[in-house]
Amino acid sequence: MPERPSRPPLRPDEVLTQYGRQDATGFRNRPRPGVEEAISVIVGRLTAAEAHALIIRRGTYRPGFDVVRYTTVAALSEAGFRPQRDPTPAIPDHVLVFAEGEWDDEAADRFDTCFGRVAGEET
Amino acid sequence: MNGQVAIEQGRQPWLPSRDAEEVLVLHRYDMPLIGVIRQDGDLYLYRCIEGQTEASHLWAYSALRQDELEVLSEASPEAIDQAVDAAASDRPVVVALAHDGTGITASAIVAAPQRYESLVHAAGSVLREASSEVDEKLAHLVV
Repeated sequence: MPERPSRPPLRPDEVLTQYGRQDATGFRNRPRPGVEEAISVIVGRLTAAEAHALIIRRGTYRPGFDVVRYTTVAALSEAGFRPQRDPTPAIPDHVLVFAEGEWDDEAADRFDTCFGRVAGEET
Repeated sequence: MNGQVAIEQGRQPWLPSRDAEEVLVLHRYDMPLIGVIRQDGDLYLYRCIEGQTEASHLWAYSALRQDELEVLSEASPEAIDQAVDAAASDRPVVVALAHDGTGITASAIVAAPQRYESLVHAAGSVLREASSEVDEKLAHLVV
């Protein structure tokens, strides 16, 4: 596999975007047992349309249904999470967020409080 | 390039059998969404075609040649979808339905995916057909 350009280390003030849906799915606030060990976010302040294009890649972006929320590297770190770059060919700025301890109900609440308002009306 | 991928129910879609080995993850968001696995020496491309962030998801698997793996490995972020389509457009596809808690629960072969509007349409059609056949067989057993 060819070498891909390396990305700079995450800065504390770096904004991170999490994609979610304005339905029962919502935003993931803990890994699914047996499926994953960390939660994905993307470096930068992406609009919901940009995040949808990067993650879902096909299908139609639905304003108000496809949504995003934002945090920073520092906010996650101070709350006991460890964001670490995990570039993939499809999303070079992909980041995985691990919990420093057990990812239980309290950690899930703490994870949610790291994020600001939900945005999804951008086009 | 061999025949069709082997699917074991209950496995995670990105490692659909006990002997599957990860070769390459091209796209991940929480879980792996597009990648390449090796089974018994043969390469297979997998991709989530619906439900990427949901509790239930549809997947597609295509046999892959070594030269196609090299193209996928070198594709730029903007060219990945086109490279995936090009690598999988001319051959049968195995589609599967999976759920967060239970892994793969059903799979079926789409012999001619180009006959359908999209892989999602193909998956819906053949999985519904397979489900109906199971229902019919079970109905004969109920007396």
